[in-house]
Amino acid sequence: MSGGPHGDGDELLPDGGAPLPDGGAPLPDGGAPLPDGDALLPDGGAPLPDGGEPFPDRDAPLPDGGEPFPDRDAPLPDGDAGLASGTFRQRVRVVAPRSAAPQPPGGYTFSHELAEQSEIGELFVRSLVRSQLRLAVVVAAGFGLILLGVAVLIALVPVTATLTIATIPLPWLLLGIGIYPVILACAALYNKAAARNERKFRELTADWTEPGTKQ
Amino acid sequence: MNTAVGLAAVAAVCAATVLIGIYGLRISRTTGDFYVASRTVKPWWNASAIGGEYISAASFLGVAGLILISGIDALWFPVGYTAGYLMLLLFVSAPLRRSGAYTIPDFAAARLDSTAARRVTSLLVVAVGWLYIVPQLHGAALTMRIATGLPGWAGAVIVVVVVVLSVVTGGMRSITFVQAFQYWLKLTALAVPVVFILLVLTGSGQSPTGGGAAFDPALDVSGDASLYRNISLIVALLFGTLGLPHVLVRFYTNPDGAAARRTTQLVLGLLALFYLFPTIYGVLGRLHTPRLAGGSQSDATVLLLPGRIVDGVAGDLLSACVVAGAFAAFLSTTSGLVVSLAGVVSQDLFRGSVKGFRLAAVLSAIVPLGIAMGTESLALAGSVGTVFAFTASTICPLLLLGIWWRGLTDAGAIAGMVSGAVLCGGSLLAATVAGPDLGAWAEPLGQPAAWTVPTAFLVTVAVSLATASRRPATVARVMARLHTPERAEDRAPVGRPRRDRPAE
Repeated sequence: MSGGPHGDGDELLPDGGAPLPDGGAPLPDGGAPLPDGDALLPDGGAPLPDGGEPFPDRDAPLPDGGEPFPDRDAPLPDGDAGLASGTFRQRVRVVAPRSAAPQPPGGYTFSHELAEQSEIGELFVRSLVRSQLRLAVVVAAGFGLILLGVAVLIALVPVTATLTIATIPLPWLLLGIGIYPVILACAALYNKAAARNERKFRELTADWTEPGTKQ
Repeated sequence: MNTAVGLAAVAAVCAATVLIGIYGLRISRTTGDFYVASRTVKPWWNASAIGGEYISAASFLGVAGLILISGIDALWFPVGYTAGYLMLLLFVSAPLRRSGAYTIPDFAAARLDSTAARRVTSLLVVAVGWLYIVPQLHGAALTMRIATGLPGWAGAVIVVVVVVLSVVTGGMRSITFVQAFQYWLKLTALAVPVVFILLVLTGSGQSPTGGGAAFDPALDVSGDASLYRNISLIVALLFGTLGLPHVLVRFYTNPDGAAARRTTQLVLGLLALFYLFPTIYGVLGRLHTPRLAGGSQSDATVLLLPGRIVDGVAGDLLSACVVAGAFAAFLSTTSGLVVSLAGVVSQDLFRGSVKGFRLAAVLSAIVPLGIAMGTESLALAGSVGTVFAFTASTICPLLLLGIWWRGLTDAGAIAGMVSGAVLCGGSLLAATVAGPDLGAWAEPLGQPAAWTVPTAFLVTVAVSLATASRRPATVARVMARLHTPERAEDRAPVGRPRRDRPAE
């Protein structure tokens, strides 16, 4: 796999769903080999430290197709890439793509700009945060009440212990089995509603930023 | 238990773990791979890996042991372990994934724009991680003694060596494969023997529950737990899960926030399925190995039960099965913790280089090994429960308020974490040292979460309000980043060129 083709250093995103060969460098765009020699492709089985690989091999589809910097910690080409053109290669120090001094988060994505640049954007984000928090608190409180109810029932109503199904007393059934479907139901309910809140937010911001309507 | 079979089981699990680690090494190349597997992990793999990492000695051995000792009160532990993940889903999973930070100290630094907050968080994360590894090693020592007759320390040393080997060579990427494998191994290791045992029991005409005798409270060794103790325990487990370092790092392996939520939902299903089995072992143990409850070996219930009920070679094989599963539990939780600790330590001490990560991994595993050698094993589920209480009182307020409240300041976060650590750590220490001499104080000190968690929250909020001028200027951007769905970026903003891939 040594010296495979790769793109230039500007490009950070691998092909959305490109299959990644095991043990080898991913070849996101199968272009010309080493156009500018600023990235090091390790030998097939080369161990890690000198394998400065400019392409993060994420085969999961990226959420944001057009954004060059989906995350502030996406590997940067200049930091990670080493040299390997033909006959010589240079050992390159690979460090984590972040430092002790935090970069200002955000600033790369549309929604962050939205939030920063305008009061309306800030308002949208605030209302999204509020609705997500309200949702989480409601689900948590509901679950907490059920849990508390079970605890109180078992502690204060001793007659529950005498009710049995297939020789198993009711409190054991409630705590050993019965509570788990409740947890799963809460999770499913929350996921659905949280996704709905986000969809609403997306629709709102889309309306606002369509060409022509943007202020 | 047959010594040779026990040894073979331990060796097989260790070999499998190392082999999968090496396989993972071949595809982990960048620093990003090393830390969080470049976020390529699919939800099913990821959920299995989270489950594998989360199900520790306390779950695999401790829950059944505790059911033997305290009956129905023990059932609150698996409920709390699982419901903790529900809290994680509700309040943390998607925003934390979107934060883009790799570790909790990274999150603290980015959210609060403060190096001091980062340092304090790092210290606490390392403390929590070390405290959590110790019971895993105690579990390994116990299993080694029972399964092979070798001295217990050998088990702890084996776990540390295997974990360090697989972490140092493969990092998180290989750990993900290892962990996913471990979940299914653990589930199988408990489920297969239990099915056999139930078949044998019903085949010989016995009722598996002894006609209900297994549930008799008279079998409990400990007294009934008070309502306070159960509530305090639940508070610790619900809020402690949020702050466990090895749990959080897993969320970064999801491609986006929505995927993080879906993964968590899958994890809840996997946990609910798993905890059915330790419970069955505990109930069977109350009938068939009741004498374990009296001594200090109640945690061995799961290991000894198959041999007690099924005779001969079949019994040996089933015992080997649970021994293998137990070792998988120690290995997976320990390696998860070591990875996340190494991430934190190497960031703060070694500037995040791969070499530094490896060095930090060795450090992160050696220290708790020393502690484990020098201490006695308590009941595993109980000692892990105290770690949850500590996490809930320290890291949980930082995370919850950091994600949901704009008013949090670095001073408030530090004050909250320090007061939570002092109050919770102090009372746990007092309860351990003074023990039963405390009288009426024994319960609130031994199970402090119910009052230390609210106190830590109050201190955090009060100090933040008093230092409102220290609110970071970046808070609006950070909040937007944490909470806005990723797909909003699909639409390229007007006036900003898209940077497309080069033409193919």
